[in-house]
Formats: sequence, structure tokens, C-alpha cells
Amino acid sequence: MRQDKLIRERIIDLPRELERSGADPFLVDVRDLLEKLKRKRRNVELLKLDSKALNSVSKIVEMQEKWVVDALRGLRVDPDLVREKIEKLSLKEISSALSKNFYPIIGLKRISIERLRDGLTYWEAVRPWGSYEEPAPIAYKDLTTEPLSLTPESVKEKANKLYEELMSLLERGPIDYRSYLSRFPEKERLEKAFLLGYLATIGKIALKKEPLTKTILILKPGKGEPFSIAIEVSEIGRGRRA
Amino acid sequence: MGEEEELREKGIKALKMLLFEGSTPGLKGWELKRRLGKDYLAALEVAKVEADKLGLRIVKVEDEEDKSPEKARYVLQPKEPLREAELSKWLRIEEAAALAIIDVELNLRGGMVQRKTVERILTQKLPSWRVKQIIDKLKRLNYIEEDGDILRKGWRMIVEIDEPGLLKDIISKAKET
Repeated sequence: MRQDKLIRERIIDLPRELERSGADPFLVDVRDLLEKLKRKRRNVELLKLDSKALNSVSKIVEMQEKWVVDALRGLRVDPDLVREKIEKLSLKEISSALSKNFYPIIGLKRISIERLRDGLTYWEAVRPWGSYEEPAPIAYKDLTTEPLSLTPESVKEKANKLYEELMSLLERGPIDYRSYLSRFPEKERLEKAFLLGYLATIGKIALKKEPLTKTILILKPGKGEPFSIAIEVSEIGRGRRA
Repeated sequence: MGEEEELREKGIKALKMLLFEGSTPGLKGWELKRRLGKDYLAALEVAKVEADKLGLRIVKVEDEEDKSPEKARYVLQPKEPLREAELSKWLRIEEAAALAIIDVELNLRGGMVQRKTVERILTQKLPSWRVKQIIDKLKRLNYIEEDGDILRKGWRMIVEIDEPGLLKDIISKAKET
């Protein structure tokens, strides 16, 4: 309490001392004075002293401003005149004046390995949004090196042959769609996938997708409402779709 | 390795450390001491000679409260001011002009100015949304500090701008126009 009182009395006397000694008012650290006065007090006497001390601080700030004005006058510079000049100058002219008196700190920005790892983790975790939510377009030109040579007649003929083969295999139980196709070389695999799609479309076979395992099974046609499904054959054919 | 040779190597190492900055430009004295050893100040003297050969200088920025060399920040600067074209790599024209205007205004007002006063001055030349953006950027880059509603000079404004020179050039430019 006594210490706080002394500090405030000292602050109250400061402007008078500065005037008497003619010292540079910038020797007083105004920010430090305000920090000292910031602490909350409940004592009435201290509160009264606080208000007087604050008044003194504002006087010191006023003295500092006057000191600057006097110093500028010593350089034959009038603050209002400087402001008026700035008003008349364009942004380019002002920035040009700065460039002649600007010594920027030199340094090469770098990123640490840890920050780089953080960035990578972030991009892996972040979900795409907006238009990026859509899957990337399929590069159809990569699906096969040669186009399939099928005609309506040959499709029917080949589909019938495949149907017979499947029916004999289906006697032993459902066929795994991907395992079945993986037996064939690339071009033939695509042709078989097309024919399987055709047979499923005309209702001669059924395809069932297990929701949990995502396995696709070839079955004999059953009851129920048919619907079309898109099958990705990326696991079968080097990341490609059919 | 001789003592002299060792010191020279430390000097070059100090220069490299100052050149490759992290999130904040330059390095504190205690950081240099930790990596170079107790004789880091001697190593810095060697680094100053090497920097001079490259047209650079090492500047010590003292901490406001603790004036010890360990708490000071050491930064690299060019010996000569920038050319106009080079400035644009640092700041855009309107940002550089705003920095100059704020610096002059702070000098005219004894180092402190209300943010709204600065905003009022700058909106004479720029839209208010851009003024707010620029003030925030200059704060982020440590050119200005904000305490409540009061703006003060940041340490980079003090270190990087030759203030009497700027004032002189602004007045002489205005005379030309």
C-alpha cells in the first residue's frame, strides 16, 4: 500500500520535474507508467491518486508531442506541412521515397522437415470439397490398347457360349465375378466383362454385390426387382474401370 | 585446428544461420550462443566482416526491457537501400506507401497514434477494407504494434527504415510536384 502510494506520488510529480529540469520527456517510459497504474485497487485514497497520476501521464504525453513538434521545427519541418505534402503525393511517389530509405532484413525462408510432414498429414486427412468431391474423370483411352471388335451377331453368339459355360459352373455354386475375370488376359477380360453385363441386362444371369465384403457374385437369375449397378474392375485390370 | 581458424568457421556458420531464417527474421543472442558457444560475440564480429564482403551488414536489435546481448536480436540487412523495383518484391506499392505514411505519422505524434486516426489518413488514398488488411499485415510482419486502440512502432519499423531520410525525401518529393 505504502509502495503503491509512493509510486503514484512520484508519477504525479514527474511533469513538474521535467519542466524544471528541461529534460527530454521521452526519457519517461509512458507504457511502463500505465502498466503500474493498471493494477486494480479498491482503496479510495489510491483511486484518487490514480486519477491524479493519470492526469500527469497525459501531461507527459502532451510534452512528448510538443517536444517532437519543437524538434521538427528545429529541422524547419512543420508537422501540418508534412501531412499536407503526403496528401498531395501519390502512393507510388510515397513508396518510392520509402524504397530510398528502406533496409529490409535479409533471409531465406525455409521450412523444416517436421512442418513438411505436418503439411503432408494435413493434406492426406483433409476431405475434398465442392467440385473436387466428384471422382476424377476416367481415362478411357487407357482402358484397352485395342478396341473390341464386336458386332450384334457376334455378341449374341459369344454371350450364348459364355452363358452355357457359366451355367455349368454355377451348378457348383456362385462365382466370384473378379476371380472369374482375372483368369483372362487384358483384352479378353474386357470383352468378358461386357458380355457378363449384357447377360445380366437381358436377365439370363444375376449379379449380386455383398454390401459388407463388396464382393460381386455371379448367380442364376432369381426373383426380385432388378436394378443396374456400376462395377469397378480396378483390382482386376491395373486400376482401370469397365 | 587453430583458434583463429575455428573462430572464422564459427563466423561463417553464424552468417549462414542468420541467412536461413525460420518463422521470425534473424536470431536472438541466446540462440547463437547455444549453437556457437560462449565466444559467439567474437564469432559475430567475424561474421560482420564476411557479411560486408557480400554487401550486407549485421544489425543488433536490443530488447526493450533487457539490454543484454543474449536477449538482443541479430539480423542481416543490405548496406545500401533497395531500388524501387526490388521493394515491390517485399511489399506492394500501396503497402509500402502505407508503411511510410504510418511511420511519418508516428514520428509526428511521438511514437503513438490511435488506429482510427491512421485508418482515417489512409482511407484518403485507399478503400477502407484494404486499409484494414494492410494494417493487419504490417502488424503481422512486426512493422507496427497494436496495444488496445493505440499503434506503436514495431521493431522492424525501427530497424529497417531510415526515418530522417524518409521524412526528407517525402518533403523534397512534395516540393518537386
